[in-house]
Amino acid sequence: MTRVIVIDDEEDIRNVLKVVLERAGFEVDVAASADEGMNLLRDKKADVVITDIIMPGKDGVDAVYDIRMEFPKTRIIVISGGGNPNPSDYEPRAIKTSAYLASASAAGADVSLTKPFDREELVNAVRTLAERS
Amino acid sequence: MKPVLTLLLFVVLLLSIRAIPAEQEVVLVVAHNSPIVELSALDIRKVYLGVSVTVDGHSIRSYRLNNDQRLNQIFMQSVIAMSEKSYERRLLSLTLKYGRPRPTEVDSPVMLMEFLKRNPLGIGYMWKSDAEKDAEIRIVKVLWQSR
Amino acid sequence: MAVTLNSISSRMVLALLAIHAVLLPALFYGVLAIVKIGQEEAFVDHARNSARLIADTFAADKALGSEQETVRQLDNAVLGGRSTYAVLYTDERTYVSSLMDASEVRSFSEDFVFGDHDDDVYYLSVPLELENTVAALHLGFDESPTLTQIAGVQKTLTNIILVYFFVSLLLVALLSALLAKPIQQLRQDSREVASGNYSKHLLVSSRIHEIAELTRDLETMRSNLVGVNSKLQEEIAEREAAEAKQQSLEVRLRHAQRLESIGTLAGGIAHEFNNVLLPLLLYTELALEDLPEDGSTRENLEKVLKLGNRAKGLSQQILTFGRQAGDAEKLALDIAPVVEEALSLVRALIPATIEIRADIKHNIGTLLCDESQIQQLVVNLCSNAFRSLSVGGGDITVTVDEQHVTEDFVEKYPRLRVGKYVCLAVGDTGVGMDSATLNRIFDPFYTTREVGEGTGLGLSVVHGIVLKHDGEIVVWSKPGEGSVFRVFLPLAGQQSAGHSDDSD
Repeated sequence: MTRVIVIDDEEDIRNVLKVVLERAGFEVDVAASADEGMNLLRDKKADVVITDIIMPGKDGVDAVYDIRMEFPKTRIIVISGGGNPNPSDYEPRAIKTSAYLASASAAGADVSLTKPFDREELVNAVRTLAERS
Repeated sequence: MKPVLTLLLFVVLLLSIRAIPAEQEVVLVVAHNSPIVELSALDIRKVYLGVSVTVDGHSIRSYRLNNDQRLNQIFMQSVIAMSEKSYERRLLSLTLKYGRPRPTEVDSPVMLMEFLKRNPLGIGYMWKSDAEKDAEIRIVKVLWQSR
Repeated sequence: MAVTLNSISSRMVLALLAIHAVLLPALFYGVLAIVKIGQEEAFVDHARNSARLIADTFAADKALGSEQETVRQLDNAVLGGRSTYAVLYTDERTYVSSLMDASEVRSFSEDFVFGDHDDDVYYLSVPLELENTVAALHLGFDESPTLTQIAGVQKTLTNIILVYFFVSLLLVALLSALLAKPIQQLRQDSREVASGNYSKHLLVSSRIHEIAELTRDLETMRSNLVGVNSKLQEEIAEREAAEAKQQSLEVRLRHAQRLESIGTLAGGIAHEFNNVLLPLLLYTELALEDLPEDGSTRENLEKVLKLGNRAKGLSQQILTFGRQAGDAEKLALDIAPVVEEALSLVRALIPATIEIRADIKHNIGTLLCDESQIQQLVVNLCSNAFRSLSVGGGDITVTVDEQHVTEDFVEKYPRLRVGKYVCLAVGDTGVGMDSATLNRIFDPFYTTREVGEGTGLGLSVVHGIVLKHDGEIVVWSKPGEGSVFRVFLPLAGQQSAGHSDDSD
């Protein structure tokens, strides 16, 4: 069974993704932050990691980078709100999300999805990546 | 300067005409001890014009009064028969050309009479009333009478 | 010509009048007096002399002759001596000239001064010393000729003085006009300059020293003023232009800022919105999955899903709008700091074992660009370069400099035009690419990477950005040696051969 770890600071998103992916037949664990996600990965290992890139605390981009470094075989999907991060939360390193996305790909993400995405879109992406690995 | 003086003289003359005294006669006078007894009009004229007229070999000296313009006018008209200006010119040329003494000018009849007493050969003229005041002065003749 | 008391001519005339008011009477009366005195003195002298001579003719005889003789002599006096009156008084009798009327005989007051007694006759009496008697000769001399002569002189003098006065008045008027004319001219010219015709030269029109000098000085002043004035005006114009420029820049900046803030706002809202929409839609989908094919619940939920998708559409529109609003303005920027900022990002992502050499020239010029897109371009190129490096490591070189595109180059790369370009070059010492690969690198999803090493989108995005900026990307690569990606972007102010894309 393909294991998926979902990292997102929004509880609702964590929950819904978990439900959707479990329904699709994946094993899902969730983490609320990049650090938590990393720990979880170390613990449980995963085939695919889905992470929000704009999160408080450790930057999503850093997370991608770290994951790539530590788990070169794990596939990474980055998801984003598409707009701009609220400047009051943290200081973004790039001005626009597009740049973030770019840096995410530079850091090693495989796929990037923009919220809100289809159930189908997500499931397909996971499946494709799972097959690749 | 001369025209101005002449102008001033003119003005003074005009003014003096206003004050016409009621004098009657102008007389020729000498000192009482003068050798001069009689002098013709011509001789008087000559003396006052600087021409030498002698008596006993001595020249007669002439004296003039300069305090009374009217007296002078009468004298000029009656004796000298010239204008004052012509007479002055004549006297000037006397001194300058011939070196002759001009008639001595005296301020007052009294002074004139004193001069005459000191110089018996001198002649002078004045109002008769003045001449009569001094006993040591002799009247030679009447030069002019008013009418 | 206005008449005032203060003009040159009126002052000169007044001065003339004042001087003459004093001088002319003095002159007149002075001259008149001199003439009068002279005439009168001559008359008196002559009268007295004549009287004397006439008297002497009688006295020479020593005695009077016959009455006839005496009268004849009296007649002679009247005829020759210019006396109008000749009467001889003796003690005995009175002799009267036959040329006289008997009624004219009278007693008179003797005159001693010309003009005495107001009778136009100068009377004098001369005493005669004859041998026996004393006689008195009375003579009267006509004063009228002398008086007439004096009056004549007076008249002539008056005429002369009047003529002189008017001539001098005329001369003064002429002189003052002569003087006033150049001054008037100067006044007129100055007034013209003062009223705004600064280019009117003040010309010297008089030989009078003071006026000429004044004119020259005023002219110098004028030309200086003109110079100063034009300089000032230039300065004002410059300042105004600068201000206008400043203002327009400010407006643009404010506009851009407003748009950007709207964009930011929109983006922020959309971001949160999307975070909400995702679970909303997904849950709805899940719910639908659990429901039977028919039923009102299904219908209702399908509606909810539809609405949710509408919301998604809206959110995307907002985002697009936000992006457009925020991104619509391509600003003219110096690309160097943008690249440097992107590089700092890159440096954070790439391990320290890889050296990134940067040679970025500042102040090449400004480029109309979207800052974030350029950053994305740099990041993508660098990440591509990084991925090209083999396990052993290598270098990445990033340069920014100015390039002049020649005609030959344009022939090869028709999207370019002859002119100045900014050249951003990213080079690596990686594996390189063969020509087959080179042909496809900008295709979307084309990747030579192993699975998991990239989306394959990076270079296509780069390509898109380059096109959006009216530029061109030129790749050199040699397998085993490395690659260099050169991005040419036109400097602001120049046009490109292709269409200028509307951004986003």
